[in-house]
Amino acid sequence: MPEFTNPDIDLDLLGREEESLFARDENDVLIRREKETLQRFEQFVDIVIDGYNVRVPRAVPKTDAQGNPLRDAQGQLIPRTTTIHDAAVRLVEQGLWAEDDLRTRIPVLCHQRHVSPVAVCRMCSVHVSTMKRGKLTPGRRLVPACQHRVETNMVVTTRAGIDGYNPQTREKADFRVVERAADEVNNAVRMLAELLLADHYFPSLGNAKRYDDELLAVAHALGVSPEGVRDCVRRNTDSPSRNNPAAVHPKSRRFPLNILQTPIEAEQQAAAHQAWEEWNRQIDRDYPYSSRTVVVDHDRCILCDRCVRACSEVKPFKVIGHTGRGYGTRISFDLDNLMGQSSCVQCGECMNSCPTGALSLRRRVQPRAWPDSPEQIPVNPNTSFPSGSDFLTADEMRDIWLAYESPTRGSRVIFPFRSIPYSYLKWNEGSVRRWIIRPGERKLLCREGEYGNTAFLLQGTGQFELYSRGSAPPRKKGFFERLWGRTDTDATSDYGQLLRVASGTELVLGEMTCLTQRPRTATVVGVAEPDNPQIALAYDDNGRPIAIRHPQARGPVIVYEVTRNLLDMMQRAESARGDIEEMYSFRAIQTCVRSGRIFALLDAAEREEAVKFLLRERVDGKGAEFRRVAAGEKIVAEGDTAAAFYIIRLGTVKVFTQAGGGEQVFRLLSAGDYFGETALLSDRPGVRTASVAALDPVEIVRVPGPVFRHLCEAFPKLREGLRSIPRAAVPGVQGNPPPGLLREYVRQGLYQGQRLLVLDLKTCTRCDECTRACADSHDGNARLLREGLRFGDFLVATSCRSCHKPYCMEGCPVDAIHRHGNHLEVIIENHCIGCGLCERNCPYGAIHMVPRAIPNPAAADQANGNPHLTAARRAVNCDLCGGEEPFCVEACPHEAAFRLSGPGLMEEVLARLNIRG
Amino acid sequence: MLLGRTKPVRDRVLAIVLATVGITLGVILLAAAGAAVGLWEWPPQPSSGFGVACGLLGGAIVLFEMLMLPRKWLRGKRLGSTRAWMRWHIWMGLIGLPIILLHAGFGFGGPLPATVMILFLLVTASGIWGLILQQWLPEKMLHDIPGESIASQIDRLGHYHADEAGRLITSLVTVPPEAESSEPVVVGPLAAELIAFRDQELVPYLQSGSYSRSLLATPSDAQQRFSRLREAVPPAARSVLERLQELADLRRRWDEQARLHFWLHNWLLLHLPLSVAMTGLMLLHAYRALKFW
Repeated sequence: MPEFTNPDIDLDLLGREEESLFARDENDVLIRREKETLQRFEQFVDIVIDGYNVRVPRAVPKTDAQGNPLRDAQGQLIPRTTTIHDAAVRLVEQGLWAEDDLRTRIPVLCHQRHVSPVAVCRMCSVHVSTMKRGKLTPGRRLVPACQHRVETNMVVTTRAGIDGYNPQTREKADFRVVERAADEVNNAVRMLAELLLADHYFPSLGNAKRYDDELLAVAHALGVSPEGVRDCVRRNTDSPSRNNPAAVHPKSRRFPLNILQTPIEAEQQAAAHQAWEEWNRQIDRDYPYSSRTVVVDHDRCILCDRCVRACSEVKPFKVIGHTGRGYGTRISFDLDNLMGQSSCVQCGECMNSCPTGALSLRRRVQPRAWPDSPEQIPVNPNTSFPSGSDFLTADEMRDIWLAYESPTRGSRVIFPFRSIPYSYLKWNEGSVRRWIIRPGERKLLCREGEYGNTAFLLQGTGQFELYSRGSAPPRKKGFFERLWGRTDTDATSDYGQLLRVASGTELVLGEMTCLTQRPRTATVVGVAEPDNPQIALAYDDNGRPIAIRHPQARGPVIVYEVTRNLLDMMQRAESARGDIEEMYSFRAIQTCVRSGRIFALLDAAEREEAVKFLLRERVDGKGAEFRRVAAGEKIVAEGDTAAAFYIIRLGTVKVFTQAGGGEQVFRLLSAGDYFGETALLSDRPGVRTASVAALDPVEIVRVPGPVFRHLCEAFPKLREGLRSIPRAAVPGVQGNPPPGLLREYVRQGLYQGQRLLVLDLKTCTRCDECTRACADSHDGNARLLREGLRFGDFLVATSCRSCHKPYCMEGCPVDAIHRHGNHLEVIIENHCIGCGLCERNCPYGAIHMVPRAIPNPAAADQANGNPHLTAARRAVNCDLCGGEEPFCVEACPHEAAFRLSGPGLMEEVLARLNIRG
Repeated sequence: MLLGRTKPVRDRVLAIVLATVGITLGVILLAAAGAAVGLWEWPPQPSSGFGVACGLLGGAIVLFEMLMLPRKWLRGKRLGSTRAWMRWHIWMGLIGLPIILLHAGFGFGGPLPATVMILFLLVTASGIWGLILQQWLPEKMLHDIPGESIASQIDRLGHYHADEAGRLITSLVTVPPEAESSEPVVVGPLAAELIAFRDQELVPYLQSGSYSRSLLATPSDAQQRFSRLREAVPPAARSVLERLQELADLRRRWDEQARLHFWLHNWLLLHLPLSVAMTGLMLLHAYRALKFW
């Protein structure tokens, strides 16, 4: 029962259904009336599920779609009520149940672990009894496991009944009560499945698999089939389709995205062309709500709310809601617009979350991650993908398995794409490339300094040599090489020094570049020794996958190169998330500690010793740990007792104090910098004299205070150095800017800029030659706006800043936006689907959506001669004119336009202030 | 442009004047020195060898100066930095003046040469005038107009602001549907005055600026007008009036920006057509002079 007297109840969240356990908030989202508190992380509850005891905290951290714990602005974990389903998941984590066990006992349709539970499908219903004075009191109704919170002395019975009961406690079980409860659950969920099938199941459209039909899978698991649905519940054939409502008055808020033909060679053939035309005709006729990417079939929709939550919780768009009532209830886009004419950005998140195919794939994306990406990826999802190539199909992706040695969990075999939605893989077919390195061969996988947008998954064999030039520039071509145009790109002399040799069991390489949008830190060469052993997949007695190596048999080294968007999805996939995260964290700590400026004062030998010490040392079981911090989150609070030392791996933080009711920023710190040492270096733990907050997503390594003190004791030179090293207020800037200027620098986000377009307003005659030159050199679409905020005497124009942290690249569903080679410019590829996510993500308004000509000959050069494009509009962005002097700067006749970095601009402004002084 | 962008305006303007005078006098003195040692006669005659050489050199300089025009048209091509072109354009223009004067023998000649000469002097003077304006006015705009916008967009922005002002005043004199009170904030004769102020003064001013001949174009009048209204309206409406005054002030600054923008670029209206005319007549003059030489 709800504890109405509980002071934790957040009265602000109470909605219109005050008398019930749950209420709806202002956004009509079902919420729990009781506000969770941090204390509940420490309060544990013992419950029994099918005879298995499990101990869980009353609250667990809320996570994002990638499983990362969410924190509030104060840096505290956000608690979420622990549910019965969470407790069952804990049993899986403890190895007492297999994943399949969980799915069989508690089938789910509307629930996904990364979004708020709404309990609308009730497929996860379980029976709950409570133990009172040693006596089991059965509950009177079934509860949804996905949403019902755990309580002390709770005894849960799932549909598995006595057959699935814990063998060790079976003797003590009350067979009659368990069986009755299980029957009750079984009857209820089978009836639900039958009703859903009766009303919402239809054979798949087209002749190719485009999505996972979870409804059918759940029904089959419950022993219900579409054919077995009783006539009395079967849908009346006279019932009108929900796809043809009598009054549809779409109100277009954006210009529609037309379906453009992409006549690749295969589809120029009459049959393929006709199939594509017919497919589109059918969808336009029967499913008028569809958009260019997604087929919308309201008749299949079970109103599970997954798409609604995906659109509002996973993505921030909030386009999808509900409309209608009774039989006509359906999901709606904006104010019941057609999807293609709504403000939907076509990111595909709803399609990927749909369990029934109500939102399904209409067209492939034709990614171009590699210069030789196949021209033959058909846009029609019903046309088979060219098999046998090194570009993998959705089914082939799902079959990929990787064997690796976990630093903490030993040998493992994972299927990285198995829990990624099939529709997403189908949409992005061609985004995974298989490299086969035959015994005795070597292959250059990536080069240091390049902005890569791919990572390399290692199947489990081979060796990978990692080279680095350090700060040395790339080798220049010799006279004869330039004369004859001959170049030996594989010359190892150009790679620099061999850093280490990675094993094929390290799961992944190159992931840091993908996930952080930084240049690659090493050149990687894959090596297959002549006696490279063959590796094969097998299953042990428990059905768990294992990798078997045959030392006597020779086999190739297999590497899968995956694009960034798929790596992002892997991080969301439960089958691979933990493993990727583990390797990433492990390497992040290593690289951060090694490259941190903290050891700059030590000589090489001492430095290596100190690094090893820091990585090894643990006090009370706690050592250096990796942490991600969201933008705006406070890492250290002024006045708190100092408990740790921090090294920044990535991102920028500000150090500030609250003075006179306002915030006074007095230092910025970026990658390689450290903070928190002052309070720790005093003889007794001091208090923080300033707060530190993240300005953008930051990655840090947290070193507990005792470990840091041990380090300083072991290396006294370090202690002295930390006290005496002067540090710049802004990284890369000589001199101290006045507080107001620094605050403005932070407010305008100038620290992010690597190539800011700045106009010197003392000499700029406002002739607009820069804008005209940009438009003239970019098909008439200027990629800059001579408007923006002033900084000193300079105008920071609205144009791409080549940010250190390019927000625009985050979440692109088809990986169409990235950097190439070692250039800073952000390129938007031709397979851009025009979703506009990058436009929304850019905090500086530098990306614009423009209509695209059909076909667009101007883009043919970039598309390797293929003028046929895939979207009716596309994002355009400053491309820095291909790495040469940008036209905006070159066209300025008055020495007024410059491309400067943030620190460079600050230097200019400071120099002028000194002149004035 | 001549002395670097970080120097004070006064220094830069002085440098332009001194460079013009210095280069002109320097070249003339050099020519006079040549005449003194007997290399050519003094004052030089246009038809003498020295005069024709000066004419050809001056003509080449003028043609080079005219290349600035296609350079600007081809701004989307890689033809070298425009600022380098501009620097050469200015220096060669300054050097061209004494050379042409030497060619003319410090006289005007017949009707055609005189026309060309007058046009040349006008072109040079307008160029120097433009150069001086472009040193001075950008800095003035930087300091005087903090809320600067793109000049060509001022009227469009003015319409947006006029819409906003109209809505704000309407919200004071009418009752919005979702309001709790049934009374508007401002009622009676004051409401009528506000409506009249909106329709007759504020909106036309925000839309057309000083062309509307509104009293709001004068800062003191505007201040007086808004002060009086602020005192008359209830306290709840004062924030709206402050916003309206902000909009009017912004429009006044934009008018000032438009005025400065006009002076910043209007010299081109003289410089460019005169240059084209002068070049055409110069070619005709050169053809005739060489034909009958």
